[in-house]
Amino acid sequence: MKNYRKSNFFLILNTLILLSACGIRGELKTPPPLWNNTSFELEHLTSGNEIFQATVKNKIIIQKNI
Amino acid sequence: MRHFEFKNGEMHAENVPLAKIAAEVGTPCYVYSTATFERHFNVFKNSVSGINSLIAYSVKANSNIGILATLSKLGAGADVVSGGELQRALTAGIPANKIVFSGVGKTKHEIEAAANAKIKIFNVESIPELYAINEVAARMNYLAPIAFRVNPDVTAGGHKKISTGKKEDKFGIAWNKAEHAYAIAKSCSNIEIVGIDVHIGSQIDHLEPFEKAISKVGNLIKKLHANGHNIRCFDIGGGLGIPYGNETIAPPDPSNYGAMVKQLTKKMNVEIIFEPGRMISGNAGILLSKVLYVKKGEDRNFLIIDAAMNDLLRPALYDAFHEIEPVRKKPEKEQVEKYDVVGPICESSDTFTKSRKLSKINQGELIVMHTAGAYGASQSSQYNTRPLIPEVLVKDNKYEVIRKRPTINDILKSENIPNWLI
Repeated sequence: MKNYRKSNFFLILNTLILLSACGIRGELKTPPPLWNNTSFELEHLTSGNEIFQATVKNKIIIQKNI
Repeated sequence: MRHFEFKNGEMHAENVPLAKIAAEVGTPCYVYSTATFERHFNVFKNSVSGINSLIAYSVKANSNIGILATLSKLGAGADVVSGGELQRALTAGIPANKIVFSGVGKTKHEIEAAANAKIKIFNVESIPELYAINEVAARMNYLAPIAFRVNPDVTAGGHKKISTGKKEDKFGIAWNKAEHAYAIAKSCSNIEIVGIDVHIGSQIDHLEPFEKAISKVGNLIKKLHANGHNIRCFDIGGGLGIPYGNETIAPPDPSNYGAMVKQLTKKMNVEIIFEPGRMISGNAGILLSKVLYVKKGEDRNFLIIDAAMNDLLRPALYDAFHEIEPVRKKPEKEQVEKYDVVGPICESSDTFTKSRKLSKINQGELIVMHTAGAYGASQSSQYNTRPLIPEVLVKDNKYEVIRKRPTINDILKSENIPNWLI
């Protein structure tokens, strides 16, 4: 009887640890999604694009063969 | 002459310091040298001078329209393998009559686009594809110029994944069915037989496989002429190997390659089409990257850099070697360490090299991966939602960004959450 109670205790303990690891207690383990954040940009990478825009602004695409 | 070299201890692309590009454009990015593109194209052109030929640059090696326009001005044609590449070549000003369309699976839309542009030749890889071309051409009242790509069953190529000329490879018409294929083509109402095509692989480091394939196809051309087919073009493909820095034997010199082709084809009375790609663009570009972290492992050190396998796939895909150097020259007595150079992607194959001996490199330093001008940017993806990286073209002391870096928003804008979830 004593052994039976002991194994039940370990079973419940293991289940709690497992549920906790899976995030089922209600805490999301991943950061919130970015879907609605339209202003998100990698700031340090935008300068190259400014150079790109500046250089292509007045160019005509060659495309003489179509 | 190398156009990526140290000047006053700083690596330059021609006359632009790479550190300046890194500061202004951001890392990682590809940097290309116009002078190297020009030199490589002219070296190849001179190597095949005296041969009635077209040099159709293999667009898949590096397909940026800035690069294609550079080569177009030197007289290059284009070897394209999709409707997208066709549009790139035309946009960059490559004349349609210098464009050959290769690839095993052309769709009817792509065939129609190529027919509309009036390209030089369709390289046909199967009988069903021949029928598709004939059907589209008939609908357009057009006579489609074709060559069959034949599979000569010749072993070549620096890696099993870039060998294309063996009978178990998916490419080309089986050797013993080639004559029959031409007979079928002759019976098609809207097909004009103009040539024959062979391409045995890539990064080939000796001339023998080329000799074997060209000689074999030469004999077939004789038979086809005798059968009444007007074969006037012989597309011998590309595949000439280039130095990456770890070779035990040097790849063939282009002049020896040119002399060999000249000798073998002089009595064939056909125009030769060359499709060099890697040879032109491979050593014309580097991948510029920054060391994010130096991690001391249990038995090795890791350089974790901001470039990854999505930016340069060759090491993960082909076990390819790329020479790695810091942008700032190290003193000769600098301590040498062994590094695994890895990217941030969640894959163990995101490894550029293992146990490479390099002078000690610190966090925040810039490094370059050489010979990244071919099959670098053109094979890149946005895996792990890492935006495609910029491509920069240098000419003497100036540079332009020829492909911008998309923002995360640019990537997300092309996707959608279905209505039933909102």
